[in-house]
Amino acid sequence: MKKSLGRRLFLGCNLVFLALLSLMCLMPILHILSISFSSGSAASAGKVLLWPVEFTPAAYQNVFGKPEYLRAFWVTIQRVVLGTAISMFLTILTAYPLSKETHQFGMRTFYAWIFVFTILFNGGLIPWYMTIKAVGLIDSIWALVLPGAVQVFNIILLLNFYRNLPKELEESSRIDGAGHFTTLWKIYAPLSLPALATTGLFTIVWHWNSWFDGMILMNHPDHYPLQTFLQSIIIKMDLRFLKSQDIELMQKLSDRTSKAAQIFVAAFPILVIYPVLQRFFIKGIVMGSVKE
Amino acid sequence: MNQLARRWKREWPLHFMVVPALIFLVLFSYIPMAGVLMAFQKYIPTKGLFGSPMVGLKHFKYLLDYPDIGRIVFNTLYIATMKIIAGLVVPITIAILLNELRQEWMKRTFQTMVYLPHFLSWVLLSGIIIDVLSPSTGIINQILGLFGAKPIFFLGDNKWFPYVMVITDVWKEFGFGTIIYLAALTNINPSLYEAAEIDGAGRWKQTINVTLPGMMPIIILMLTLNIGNVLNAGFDQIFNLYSPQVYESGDVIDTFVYRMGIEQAQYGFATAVGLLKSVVSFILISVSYVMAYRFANYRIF
Amino acid sequence: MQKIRKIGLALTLILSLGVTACSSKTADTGSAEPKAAGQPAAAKEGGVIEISTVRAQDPYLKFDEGENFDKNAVYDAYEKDIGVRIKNQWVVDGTVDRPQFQEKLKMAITTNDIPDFFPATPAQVQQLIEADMIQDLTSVYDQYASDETKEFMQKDGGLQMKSGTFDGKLMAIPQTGNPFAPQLVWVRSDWLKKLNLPEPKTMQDLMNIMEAFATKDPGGTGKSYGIALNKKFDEGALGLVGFLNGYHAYLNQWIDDGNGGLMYSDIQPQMKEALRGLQDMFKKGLIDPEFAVKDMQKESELIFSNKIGVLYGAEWTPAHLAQGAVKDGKVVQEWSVYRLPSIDGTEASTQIELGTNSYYVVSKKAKHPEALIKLLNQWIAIDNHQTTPEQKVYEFGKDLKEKGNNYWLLNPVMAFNLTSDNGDVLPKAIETKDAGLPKTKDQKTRFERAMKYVNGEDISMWWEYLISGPKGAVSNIPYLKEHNLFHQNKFYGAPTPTMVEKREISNRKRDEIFLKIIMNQVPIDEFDKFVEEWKKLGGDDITKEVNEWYAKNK
Repeated sequence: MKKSLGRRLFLGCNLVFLALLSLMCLMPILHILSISFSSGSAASAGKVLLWPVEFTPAAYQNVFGKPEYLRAFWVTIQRVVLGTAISMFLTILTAYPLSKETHQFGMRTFYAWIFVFTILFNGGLIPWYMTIKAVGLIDSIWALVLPGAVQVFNIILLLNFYRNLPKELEESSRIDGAGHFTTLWKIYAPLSLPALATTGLFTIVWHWNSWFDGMILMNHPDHYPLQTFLQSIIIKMDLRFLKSQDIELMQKLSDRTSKAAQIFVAAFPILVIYPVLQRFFIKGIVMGSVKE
Repeated sequence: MNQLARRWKREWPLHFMVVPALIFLVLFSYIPMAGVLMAFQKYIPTKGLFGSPMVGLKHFKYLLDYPDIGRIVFNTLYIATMKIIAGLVVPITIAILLNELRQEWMKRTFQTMVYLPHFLSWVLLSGIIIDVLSPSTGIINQILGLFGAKPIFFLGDNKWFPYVMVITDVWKEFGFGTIIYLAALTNINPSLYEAAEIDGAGRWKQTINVTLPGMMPIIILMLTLNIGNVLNAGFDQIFNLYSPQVYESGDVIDTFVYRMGIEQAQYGFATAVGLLKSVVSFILISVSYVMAYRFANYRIF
Repeated sequence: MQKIRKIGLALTLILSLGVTACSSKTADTGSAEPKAAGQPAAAKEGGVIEISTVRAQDPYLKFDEGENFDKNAVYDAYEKDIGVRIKNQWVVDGTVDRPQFQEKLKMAITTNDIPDFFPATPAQVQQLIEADMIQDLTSVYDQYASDETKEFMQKDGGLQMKSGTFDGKLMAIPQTGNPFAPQLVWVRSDWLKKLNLPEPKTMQDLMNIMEAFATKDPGGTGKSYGIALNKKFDEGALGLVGFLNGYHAYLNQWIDDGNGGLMYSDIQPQMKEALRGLQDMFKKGLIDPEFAVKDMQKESELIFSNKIGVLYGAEWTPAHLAQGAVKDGKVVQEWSVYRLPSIDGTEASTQIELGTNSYYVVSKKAKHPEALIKLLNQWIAIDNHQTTPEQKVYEFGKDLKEKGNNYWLLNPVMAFNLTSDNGDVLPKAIETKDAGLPKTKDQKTRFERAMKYVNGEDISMWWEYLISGPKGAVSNIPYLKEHNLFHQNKFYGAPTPTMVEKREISNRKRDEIFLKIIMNQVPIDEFDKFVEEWKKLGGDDITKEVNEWYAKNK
């Protein structure tokens, strides 16, 4: 197929534009990576831009030498795996009935509002904490997993994808005598892989990045997930009341290279998760299977 | 009665599928909602949520009586609205442009790269942004200088501050936002493109007539949900980048509530503001839901 | 079908969860009932009393093999020596004054789930008294505090203890500290030498130095400034406070009004003059025009990269400066420290606060309030004089010797010297290399660090030398004390009602207008408008309330 001149021009410009944009987005990560490989004095003088100054991997030796860091990593992996599994199960399950039309499921709109209402209104931190405490989840991994198990936004997103699936699929499946459950697992779920990958990604990212719940709900630093652990180096220190015995701590906190290294190591797994999931974003899955 | 029973017989599996999530919501969302009571109380820990003395609308009144409240609400609405619009248009555009790339590996590489800034916190990014926007050494001002422009103190100038917030926020988040629209693109039936091509429609026409309509449900959904954020201008970002000289244009509800929280160890005030924000979001989302249904005949959720 | 069973299973699980929820809720409220209040000796088992608390795990604390925060040599020692068993209700990462601890404590307080004793901020003390959650310690303190403790806690003349006393009742025991922490001015001494400038004796000298540093660019970077400031006026280093004090202006203090009452420092004419001075400096290009968006660390980049050679800061400032001053075992930026230069003939006083911002409080539900006092007695005893070698356990853990594990951080109750004599002892000790002079733990640690630098073993300890060495920061303190150059805030009570309500708005206005004046965006006379506005925005009421408090507590 021959492309017109205008089309080729567009493709060229598009490529250049997107390349520049991508570079702009890459820079902060490069900057942090460079800091993590630079010497402390170069980093604190603000001399590091996009390439390490006075290269040294010392900061990484420091990070991987910390047992607390690795332990926190493990907690995060647990919460991501458990949390994503439970959330995705609930999302797939709940989005199905809500994707029905009113004549198929009379109370769908009512239910949908019940769900959406919870994104809009919340009672604040204290009653939320009290409830979790009353349920007896404090200081357990389930406190990080169960309270956020229902991701309403993901359910809504997925139900919109379900709706776009061809109606004939469901009908033919029902005619074959399949129940709702079979239809969901055999037809809906496999056909909405891109949407599942998307919601799955959102859930993973959400779990990976959450730190506040770990801070409030855990009773021991050994139970902190990684991002909660990292907060202790990210949050700024109030220096107005610095006591003489805190001096060493302050020095530690101003160590930018090790901060950068810890931040980078903590972000790395989540940064590569998207490229891994990308293979699910393939066009035409739906149509391919319909034609069969 | 008979009809109801028939209906139940037909629909029970659907009810059954909603129930597990519903239980979680009741437990972790609806029960804690009793906390909104605090907005009308002087909360005292020993007396608890149901025993603390009521103070009526005192917290709301305090908010409305605050001398600069008009300015603060305006700043919030101004910044948030621009963020909502830009946060919708930019990711959609980029998703479509990415989709036009013919080389699969490039598409994937670019997608991954634009998604990176989402994972960096504002605490971290603020340092980088201060450098990039610096009037003396920042790259932006150096480029502007090539065109003979005078250096602009973007973060210290009330004329620029709100726009800087919008642009840096969009820059941080558009890549992540693009994911949804890329997923929506995969959902479009390829035979529609084939049909359009047979009709002789060029790429531009196809984008207008096939791609955009195909993405429309997700676009409307995102717009509706984002409208609920009209009173959230982005606390972490503004808190890390603002300074007293730009209070005039950059002080928003959340930064104000934060500063109040430091002075007063009280929960009533923060809860009251939260409740007010929720009510506004609820109204706006309901209105857009009804409008989408009325005019586009589409139920968003 | 199998799938349905699975879903059923999940559901059962969820439902049972709900049931546990309800049951544990009732169990919880049950135990919350005050069981046996006010019968101290009753629950004693073998003479050991138990007390619960909450802790922060400092990143510097390294546990010995087999020990952890709940079970360790220090806790064991307390149980053995004074019969107090300490139980941690929870432990967080970080230190007590950081958000991790504070957020968690906030939850504990608001859900009425506080431990027997814990460290609280002044605002929390106030809140706990209002909610009737903590007990009056007056009689317990009288009965159980050792004579040594009683004397120790009064060393500052009794102000800190007074600040924990409400309506004549001792509700909170201050975690005492040394209030005499001066602001000082730090100058690049290698630059002074290079440009052949005299040491800053007066504000005019300092101005000349700043101007020379900015115009002559001794760092050779092409763009230099005179002084480093940051967005937080009251930051411990790179703040404004030291400069203001040089003009006899004080930030956010209540000062003598000359008629036996108090007045607010921010609205005094001296403040206007100080701001005028800053505005002039800004016009001359001595101040980084972007300082208002930079925090201390960010602005410090200019110091570390040789663009700024003057700043104000507390005595610990060298620990911060070390980031740029020491490189590859060499000192590349030389600094010296001076007392605050004054704008006129009167010597500048450095403003200080009470010296503590943390108080130990005891829950009403606690059965053994005396345990807190016993812990305090023991800490004061072992921290100030160790009589037996075994007592080293409180400092170093089971091996009784220093190995950098910082076991002293495990002590649940600490009080620090209210009057530090570091300034008299350390500079002399370091100059004469006399290891016999340092007495307290703090002094010994500092002496050792400084000696490492002096002996060339560890040049990165340069900062300690600049703090404690001869001509170091603390060497100025005896002079300041002798000449009465500490300006203490006269108001140390709990925030008054109007303060709580209006302080945010008045601080907001202040920060905005001060900054705009400094940055020459508005004329200096805007200050007068601010004063009027401040008075109207509740300032007059606050002044009245503060004076009422003063009349009672003078």
